[in-house]
Parts: sequence; structure tokens; C-alpha cells
Amino acid sequence: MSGLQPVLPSNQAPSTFEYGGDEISAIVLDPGTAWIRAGFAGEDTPKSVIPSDYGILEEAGENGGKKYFIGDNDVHSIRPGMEVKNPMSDGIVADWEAATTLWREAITPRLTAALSEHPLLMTEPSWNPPKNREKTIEIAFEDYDVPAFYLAKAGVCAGFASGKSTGLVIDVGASNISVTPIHDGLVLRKGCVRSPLGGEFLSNQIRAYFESANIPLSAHYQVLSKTAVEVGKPAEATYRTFAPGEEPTESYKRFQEERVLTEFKECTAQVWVGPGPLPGNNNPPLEAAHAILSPGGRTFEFPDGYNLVFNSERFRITEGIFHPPSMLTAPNPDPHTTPGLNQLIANAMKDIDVELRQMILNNIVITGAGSLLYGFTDRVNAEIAAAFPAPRVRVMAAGNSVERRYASWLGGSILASLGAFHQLWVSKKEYEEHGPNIVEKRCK
Amino acid sequence: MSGFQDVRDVMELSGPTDATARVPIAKKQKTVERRPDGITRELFALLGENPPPVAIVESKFKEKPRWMGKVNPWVWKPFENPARSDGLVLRHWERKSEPSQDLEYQFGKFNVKVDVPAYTDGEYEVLKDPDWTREETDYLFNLCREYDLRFVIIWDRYEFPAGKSRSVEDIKARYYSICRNLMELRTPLNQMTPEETQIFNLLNFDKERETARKNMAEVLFARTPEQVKEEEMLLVELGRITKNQAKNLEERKELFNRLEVPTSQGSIAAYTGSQGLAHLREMMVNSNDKNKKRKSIALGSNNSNNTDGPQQSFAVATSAERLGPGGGGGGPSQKDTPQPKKQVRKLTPEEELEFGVTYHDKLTSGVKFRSAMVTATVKGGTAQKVQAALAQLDISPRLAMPTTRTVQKFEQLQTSVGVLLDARKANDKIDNEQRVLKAQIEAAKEDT
Ligand SMILES: Nc1ncnc2c1ncn2[C@@H]1O[C@H](COP(=O)(O)OP(=O)(O)OP(=O)(O)O)[C@@H](O)[C@H]1O
Ligand SMILES: [Mg+2]
Repeated sequence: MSGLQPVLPSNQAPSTFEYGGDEISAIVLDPGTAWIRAGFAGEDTPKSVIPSDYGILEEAGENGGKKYFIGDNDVHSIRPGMEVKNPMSDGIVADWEAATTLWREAITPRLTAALSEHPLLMTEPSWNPPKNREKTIEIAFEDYDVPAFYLAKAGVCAGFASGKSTGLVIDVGASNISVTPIHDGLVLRKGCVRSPLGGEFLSNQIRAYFESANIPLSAHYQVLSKTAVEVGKPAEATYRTFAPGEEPTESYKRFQEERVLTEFKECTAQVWVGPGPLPGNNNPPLEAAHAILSPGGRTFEFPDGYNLVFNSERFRITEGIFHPPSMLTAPNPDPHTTPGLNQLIANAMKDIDVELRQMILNNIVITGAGSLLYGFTDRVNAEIAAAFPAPRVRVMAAGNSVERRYASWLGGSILASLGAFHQLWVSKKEYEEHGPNIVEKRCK
Repeated sequence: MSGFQDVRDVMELSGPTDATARVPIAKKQKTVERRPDGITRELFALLGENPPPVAIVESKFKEKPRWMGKVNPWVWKPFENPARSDGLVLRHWERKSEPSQDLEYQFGKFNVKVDVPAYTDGEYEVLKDPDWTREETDYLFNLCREYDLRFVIIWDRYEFPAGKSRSVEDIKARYYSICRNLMELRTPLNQMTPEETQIFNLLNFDKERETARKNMAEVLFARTPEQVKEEEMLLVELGRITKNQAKNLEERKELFNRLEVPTSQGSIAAYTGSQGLAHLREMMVNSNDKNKKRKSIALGSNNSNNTDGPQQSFAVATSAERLGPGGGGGGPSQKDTPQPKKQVRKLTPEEELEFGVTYHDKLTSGVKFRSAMVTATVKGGTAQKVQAALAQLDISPRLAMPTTRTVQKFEQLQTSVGVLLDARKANDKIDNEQRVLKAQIEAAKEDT
């Protein structure tokens, strides 16, 4: 496209009215359950992405305090006694001390040394309670000493990233699948719904399946070397051994296994095309399902070299997302009370003014790394088309996986670099005058 | 080339032949193709005239960028946003050469607010509504200000403690009725400017209608796939019907146009002479030309090649002839009369006779005498014999007065004579055979 337009000389600024941007070097922080994404507003990808999981050693820091291990390099290294924890629970912050440390770590020194020079925009899930929002603004002004702050809804930001200010955002994160209707850049609170069927749920599904089928799950750190073995043959690998008392903790092991499971999601798991539940899933005629599904058998190799071909199981582990009675991990979450994604969408649409419904269904945005599951968007498309036959339904999902992973960060980046947005920042002065409650008034 | 000559021959065009017919071949342009650098002359010659579309990449250093002007420094500058009241100073990059900005911040102008009216305590006395408390009305107006009258969002965020649940329509109705009443209160209706009156009228919110509309939209939204499919089918069908209806209506109109008998005026005196008749014919052919379209519709079914004009003029001629001098009332405009009668009611044979109505199954174009139309009912050799027989009987082969009836009788006569002649012929033949056989029998008898 740039080839068609005259290239703007580098010594000339773009017309601000074409572009509406006015970059004030704000920092955008999108803290999730799996990853914390941070970067400068106006850029198209976050410069700093660190896992939300962190390692902690009690009594290892100065003066015998705690020591945090943050970031890919630190959290993955083997340390006896290091627990791996996550500050988030249900998509919102549960451990404020850790969260404050993690967020700061994501920004300094990775992006800048002086937090006090950059306005900070953070994202939050739509179900973030007021107490948490006030706590967040408190940390921003009191711990980080930022000059200005804003708290934006992750759903709205994801919509902006796709160029939509009205629509339905389906975010498949680690902790939750959330459905957020937005209109004019504001969330419609009555339609915000979620289900704990995100990436963590899927990991548990896979674990449950591996257990039921007696498939041993190994993690990369356990394996020193491996040799190629035939499909289904026991692994021939040398495993790392630990002296007594030097073993990594159980939480570390689980965290490392999680990486393997994510790999499994990326290359093996698949979503049934739908619409309607996977055939022969609960009831015996599994052969029928096999007949339909088997041509797509895929091999997965575990870190120790053990490998298997997976057929209909690839579909069975994901089916719970759309059709909770098919989940393998009952009773947690409860398959009968947890709404599947179809149900979530129906619930979200229920409380929306009928005039808006048409427009919202015409602008459905799918984001979140969990939505990268093979066949996921097709299934959503099929289910929505079946549920709403009359209106025109259009589902949008960024083809680019980077955009899908970072959509809410990207929307925040767009928002914070707009000239017209700068009147919305909560300034330090305002915070001091009105207290943390100002976040409720300003960040709607 | 020869085809071209043939055409000339056929068209009998003389003149230039081969010499000029041959188009001079454009002189082949000897384009000297540039040999790209980095390829030897010999190799280039091997490529022939159509070099393959292969890009020959030259290894070259990237050219030094040529700056179009002086480098303009940018500075990291603080600015204030007039849309803010707290004096927050943010910083952005600005061109140094630009006049330093005491100017308004360029995005400040996007700070627009919707004008939501405010009422005083005194005014509220008039605006009272039993369904709404003062507190709730205040709450509503604050929300309206906060969310710039986006009613869907106001409804979404509406959480008045211990209040009734309100629909979007309730909210809108309350808001608009207050605006309207407030406006009337401040400027009586008869003192409003036209613009104000217009706004005043716009503020009229019909809650019942709006609710009904919403309900209908709801029903529309909740259609099942079958219903959607059925509706689509019905729509297609409806489209077809309306399209056909338009066509049918047009055809019907045409028909009525045709049936409309123009009133006769003037006498036919002008058309009695042969010149007058020719003039009349001309006129009618012209008018028919004008009505080409209707003609095509009318003739659409029997789609004859006959053009309308002559046929009708013939009909006129016959009717005029039949009416004779006594039928002065008819006149030239009677051309269409036989047809409507045919449409309106069936004539009995007596009536047909009385009115001189005849039907012809095939008529060729042009004017002709009826005497020429006597069909030869007998074919082949007998025809000549019939002629001879008639001549014998002193009946002329051309009728002196060929009216329909005489022609009919004449044809009958011809047929009868033909039949008789044929019978006689057969009779003669049998007689002959009989005689021969008799003779043979006689001979046989004599032999024995
Ligand atoms: N290609 C993939 N296919 C399926 N799942 C994936 C893929 N890549 C990552 N995931 C899963 O997506 C989840 C992370 O998603 P995401 O980064 O959107 O979450 P988050 O925003 O950090 O969390 P949340 O929104 O719940 O707070 C992880 O559970 C990971 O296992
Ligand atoms: Mg997320």
C-alpha cells in the first residue's frame, strides 16, 4: 500500500488529522494470567513480554526476605526449593505484592529506567471489582509514581485492535473465556459473561486424558538426552537425577509440564467443526466419531522422545469448551452449571438492546492466545451462524498469531497514542485531590 | 486477400485491384535492445529476440540517500491540553522549526459535550411525573450528561438504588418529555423561532410506538432458520408476482386502448375517390407505425408476418364496399369495428349475413379482386376438363358479379362439375373393361 502513496519524506511529520496520533511516550501494560505484556504506546507489539508465573525462594533475599525470580530466564532455571506461583486468580490480581513486583519488572529496566516520566495505561478484565481497580491506581501513583494513569477494559482494547468500537469480543485467555459486548468504546456491563474454560482448563483436560490413557508426561528439564523411538514404544532417554533435597519443587515441575501441554495445544489439539457437539463423544458409538475424525491423526513427541499418534482424542480434549458435558475433568469445573462458549454468547446477547444486536453480531472479534487452537474460529463461526440464523454474522480473528496474542495490549497502545485520548488520563494531581475512587468516575 | 476480392466482385466494384488491396507491411522496426550490464554479448545473442523474463540482478551498493532538504530537528516538548482542568503537563515530540506553541492544543477541539438541559427546583414542579422521583430524575440526568445521551449505555449502567427496573424506552420517554416541557416552559410555543419549533417537535417521543417497534424487531430477530428460509422463498415469489403484475397491467391497458373506438366525425366524402382512399390508407399506416408497440403486443400471439396496415385497410375497403353508399354513418373510423363485435358477442349466421360480416382464414397482403380469389377446388387434369365443360355450358370462367355468395356458388358448381366429370370418367373405364371382358368371354365360348 505504501507503494501507491507518495512516501513521506523523513523530515516531514504526518498530518495529524489523517492519523490522529500524538505520542507522549506512554507505557501500556496488559497483565494477564499467562503473560504480562508491556511496551510503548504507538508501537505494534509489546517490547517486553514476561510470564506471569514467577519463582520465589523464601529467606533467600537480602536480610533473609523473599527473593523473586521473574522473567523467562529466571523462572525456568532449576533451583532447589523454588516455588513457582502466579499472582492472578480468575483473571484478576490475588497477590498484590507479587503483582506489583512483576509489573514493575516488566517495565523497568526492560523499557525505561524512570517510571515517573511516562504515563501508564493498564488493561483490566471487565469483571475486575472496584476494590481491585482502586488498588491498581494506588500502586500506579504511590509505588510507581507515574505522572498519569488510565485503566482500560481489555475487551474494549481488543476491539480497538481490530478497528471496532462496537462489537462482541471473545477473549480466550489462560484463566477464562470471556465474552464482552462493547458499544462506542464502552463495555455493556449487562452482557459481560465468562467461563473458566480457558487455557488452564484445556491443560487440565489434556492432563486428565493422559492420566486416563496412561500416557507419561515428561518435562524438558527432566531429560538430559533422548534417542528416537518408534511410535508407542517406551522412551529411551537419560533423565536428570537430583541429589536428595536438591529436587525442584512440585510447582516447578507442574509449571514445566505446562509448557509441554501448551506445545500439545499448539500442534496436536483440534476443535471439532460443529455446529453441534462432537458426535459419539459421551455415548458408545465412538467408532462413528473415529470414522469421521481419524484421517487427521497427528503425532506428538514428548520431551523424552516417547511419541504417539492422536486421533479423535485431539477433538475430545477441546470439546468441553463448547459443550461442557463432554469435559474430562469433572467435577471441577462442574460440567452442568458451567456455560460453554455457545451458551456464553447466547447469554451475552440476551441482555443487549435489540437494535444493537444486529450490529454487534456483525462485528465479532476473537482474541486471546487460547483461540489459536486449530479450528477454533471455524467452530465459533458455525455455532454463531446456527444460533442466530437471521442476522448477518461476521466473525473476525486476526490471522496473525502475534496480533491475536497481544490484541488487548495493541488496542491499549492505539488508545494511549491518540491525541484526543490525552484528556482522559487521571493525573497525579487529580488522584491526590479525589483519591483512588476517581478511577470509578474516569475509567468507565 | 482473395475473399476481399470476391466481395469486390460481388459488389461489382471496379477499380483498384491487387496492387492497392495489399496493405503495405509496416517496416519492421529494428529495435536495438539494450544489452543489460552484467551479461556478455555472446550470451545475449543466444537469447534471441525474446529474452526470457529473468531479472538480472546486478550487485551494486545501495545508493546513498539524498536528503531533500535540511534535517529538521525535533524537540521533546511539554504541552498542556485545554480540555483538562488540572493542568497536567505531558510531553511529545514537536518540530523545532514550528513557531513555539502558545497555540491551542490541536486535539483540544475534540472535547465536545452534549448539551443536556438542567432544571431548577421551581421548574421541576411542572415536570413532575408520578412514576419518577426527583432523585431518580436527577440520577438519570447525570447519567445522560456522563454518557452523552447514549441511551443504550445509560440503560446498561442504570442502577438507581431501590428504583424500578426501567427499559430504554422508559428512560428515553422521561428524558425527552422533560426536555420538551422545559423548552415550552421557557419559551411559550407561539414565541419560538422556526428552528426552535423544529427541535421542539423532534423531542416528541412516542413510547408506545417505539416499544411496539422494538417488540417487532425482537420477533424478527428470533426467527428460526426454517422461518428465514421460508421468508426468503416468499420474498422471491412476491417479487415474481409484482413483476408479472406490472406486465399484466400494461397489457390490459393496451387492450383497453385498442378497444376504445375513436368517435367518428366528418363525412366520408373526402375518401370516396381513389385519391382519397390512398390518402386514407397513408394516414392509417402512419398511425399504426406510431403504435408499433401496441401492435406487437396485440399480434404477439398469432405473430403473423403480415404487417398490420394493409390488412386493416383491406378490411376497411371491404366494409366500405359492403356498406355501400347507404352506410354513410360509418366513415373511415370504422376500421376497428369488426373486431370489437367479435369480442363482444357471437353473431348468429343470420346476423352475419345481415351485417355482411365475413371471416377469412387466410388473406394475403395487398388489394385484390374477389373474382381472382376463387379457389380452384379441383386439381390436375380435371381442372381443364371442368373449364371446358363450363365453356360448353356457356358459363364464363370469370364471374360478372363476384359477391361472396356468387363466388361460393361458383366454387360449388366447379366442384360438382369436377365430381361429375370424374364419375363419368370412371364409368367409361368400367364400361370399357366390361366390354373387353365380355369380348374375351365371347372368344372363349367360340373356342370351346
Ligand atoms: N497455539 C495455541 N493454541 C492453543 N492454546 C494456546 C496456544 N498458544 C497459547 N495457548 C494458551 O493460551 C493461554 C494464554 O493465553 P493469553 O496469553 O491470551 O492469556 P492471558 O491474557 O495471559 O490470560 P487471561 O486473559 O486469562 O488473564 C495459555 O493457557 C496457553 O496455554
Ligand atoms: Mg487476556
